[in-house]
Amino acid sequence: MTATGTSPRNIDGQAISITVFSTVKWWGRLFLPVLFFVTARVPKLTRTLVQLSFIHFARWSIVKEIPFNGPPQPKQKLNYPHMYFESNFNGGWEEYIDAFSHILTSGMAAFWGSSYGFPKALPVGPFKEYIQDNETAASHYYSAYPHATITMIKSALELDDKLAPLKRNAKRMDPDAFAAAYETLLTDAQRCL
Amino acid sequence: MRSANRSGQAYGFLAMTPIKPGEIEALQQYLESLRERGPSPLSRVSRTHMARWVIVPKFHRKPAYRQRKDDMLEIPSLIFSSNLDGDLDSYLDELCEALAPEAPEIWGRCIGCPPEAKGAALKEYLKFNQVDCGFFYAAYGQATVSKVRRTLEQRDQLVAFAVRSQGLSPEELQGAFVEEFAAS
Repeated sequence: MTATGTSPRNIDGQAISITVFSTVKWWGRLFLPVLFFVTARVPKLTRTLVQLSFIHFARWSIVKEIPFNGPPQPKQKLNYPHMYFESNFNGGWEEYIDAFSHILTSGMAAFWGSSYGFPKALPVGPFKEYIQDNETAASHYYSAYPHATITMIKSALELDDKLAPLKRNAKRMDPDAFAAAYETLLTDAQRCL
Repeated sequence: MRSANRSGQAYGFLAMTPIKPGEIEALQQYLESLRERGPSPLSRVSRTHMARWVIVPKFHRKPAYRQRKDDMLEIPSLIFSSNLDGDLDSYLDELCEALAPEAPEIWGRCIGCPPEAKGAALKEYLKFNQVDCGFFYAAYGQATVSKVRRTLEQRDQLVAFAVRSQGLSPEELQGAFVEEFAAS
């Protein structure tokens, strides 16, 4: 364990990985695809996720069968579907689970409510224990920009949009007009710097 | 038809491959040692934002879960998950080429992997074992790896420039800005 509350193998710079499998009840096989479909198409449902601003990428998948690759792999028919969840985030493991529990309480119930053993998102203690029980540490984890947080990346992308017109026009502007535009840019983009 | 594996231009890929009996410890040791050997081999696959290898020995079950039937993985699996730019086919072409030195040590320890663990055969193997996303979220799904890196550098560059250029006349400021940001 590290100061971030997770295995060092789950960390690359600021980026932290979490990988969780949970076993899904029979009705989750019907409910989860509908939930995923609707969540992907109704931006309002992911607004809080966007506002939390510490998740780079996240995914949920349903494993219904194990592809058969030939012997010595046995052909296996699963009794239940299994839900794979991964997240790539920055911050600390504890803070991440706390935020999920307290802010995305109803979302957690929707996504994990059909999983065996899910204790509800609140209180957070049993939920953390549940995640720890079902989490598997990465053997190798990689980030292409390990020192960047989501806030830094979003700021840098926003700044790029703001800076583009001045880069395009700087050469042909009158010096005084350029200086004024530059000052305006710095004021306008202050929170991106 | 919209793909659940996509968010903006970003694609979420996951392959789950069965590990050969007796190979799990060697595979674990090899993957864990990649950090000690230098930069991650995934850094050679330029369209990779974030990726992981995870060994899943079993599915968890506790009596308190009240799960009626057991549902063990009969054979441990290796998960490879990547959050990547653009289209999957060309990405896997690049991946299978760039990871040619490591792939025999990784997927070569999995059942069904082609003997040479590279090129088109490895790509087909990974696609055969792909697990689709149900829901994929990308916070900046329109931005490629190269754009993220470029804009992060540019942000640092602008901060340094703002400090350095204090007190310059409008002419000097414009000249310095053009040289720094708009020379081309």
